[in-house]
Amino acid sequence: MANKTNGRSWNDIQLMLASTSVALTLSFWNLFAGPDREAAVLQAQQKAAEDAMLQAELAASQPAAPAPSGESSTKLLLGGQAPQTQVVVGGRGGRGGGGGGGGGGAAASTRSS
Amino acid sequence: MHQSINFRAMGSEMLAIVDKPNGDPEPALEQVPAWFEEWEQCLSRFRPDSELSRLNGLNNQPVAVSETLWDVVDLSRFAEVLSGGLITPTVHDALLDAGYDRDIDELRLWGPRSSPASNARAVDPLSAVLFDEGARTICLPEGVRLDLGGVAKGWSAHQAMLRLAQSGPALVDAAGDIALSGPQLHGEPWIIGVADPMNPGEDLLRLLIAAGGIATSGKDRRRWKQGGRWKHHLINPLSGEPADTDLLTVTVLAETVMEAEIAAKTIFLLGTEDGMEWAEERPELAALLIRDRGEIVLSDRMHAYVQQGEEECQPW
Repeated sequence: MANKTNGRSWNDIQLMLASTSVALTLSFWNLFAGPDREAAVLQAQQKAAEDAMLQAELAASQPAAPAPSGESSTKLLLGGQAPQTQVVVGGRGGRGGGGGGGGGGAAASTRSS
Repeated sequence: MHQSINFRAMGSEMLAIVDKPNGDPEPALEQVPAWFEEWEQCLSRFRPDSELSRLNGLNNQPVAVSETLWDVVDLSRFAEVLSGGLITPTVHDALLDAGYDRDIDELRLWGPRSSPASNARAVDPLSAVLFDEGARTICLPEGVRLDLGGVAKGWSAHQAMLRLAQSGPALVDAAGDIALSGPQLHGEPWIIGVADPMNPGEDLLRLLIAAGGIATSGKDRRRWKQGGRWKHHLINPLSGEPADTDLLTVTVLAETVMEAEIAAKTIFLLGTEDGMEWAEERPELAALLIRDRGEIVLSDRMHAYVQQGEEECQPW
């Protein structure tokens, strides 16, 4: 009888130790791993943003594909001497091939290199 | 009828166009990449066997140089005078300290080889270098090396344009430094876009230019990270570090692309207020400044172009 009681107690103690061990492990894991995970996620997000910026810059450095001509809606004329800029055309538009004065896309675009 | 050639040189995209009647083939166009290759082999600091690299490796002794190298260094002397000392080729070592120690394509991919310099210092002026025009020699003092950067690109665009112009109206675009020989065959000006730094692939506005040059300088493209900080290639010689200004890009129209390139860089280094004052003192220039947050500022001449153009607005 006494042996039986002692056996059950030992099992109870083992179970309690195992439960405590698991609980402590999980507690410490959450306590210490949590902040690292947040930092890692933040770092990954920053890196992704930087990579996206780099990709955009690399894409911008590639020659632009010709756009359909005649996109601009205005042609503005004016006179001028040096630096021999005779006309300014205002308005946005994608870049295109060609370069004729009558319309269509720009022959070339100035940009920082 | 336009004939054109696209190619890559000096770490950038290049374009050359000649306007020819009847679509006759223009053999000179095929030679343009070879011209640029020859100039790059002479003027590049990224090629260990270039003439410039050999010059940079020899201190305290007069070195005889080619006509090309002499001309571009001479143009740099002009740039230093015009810019009040802000544009100087002696920024070579300051560029290395800032991390610009490899070709820009490699730099964007892999970053700088070097760590941030601990103590940046003012750059030596070009007056420290000895020139003998008669013997065509250059003597670099100890610790002074040259970077010809944007000046070399502007010079190359101008030279290529002059050569192509013998065959017909020509346009040469060296990474945004654009040289124009004159109006197209039928007297029409060329359409030149000004890239929008906020929207890659888009033009902010378009200019019709008969002749002359246009160039843009800025910190929006040629930049990299070193030690966790963004750096760019436009060095302020007074600090020896990438210039800390309120400008993103500056575009300038001038009589030649070489002047436009020098002026754009000078205005960028000066910042909006001083840069605009500098531009207004030179009525032959027209300038368009884009500030860090995208605000656009026009010089009087550029403003007059745009305003007058809007009044005479016509449909395409």
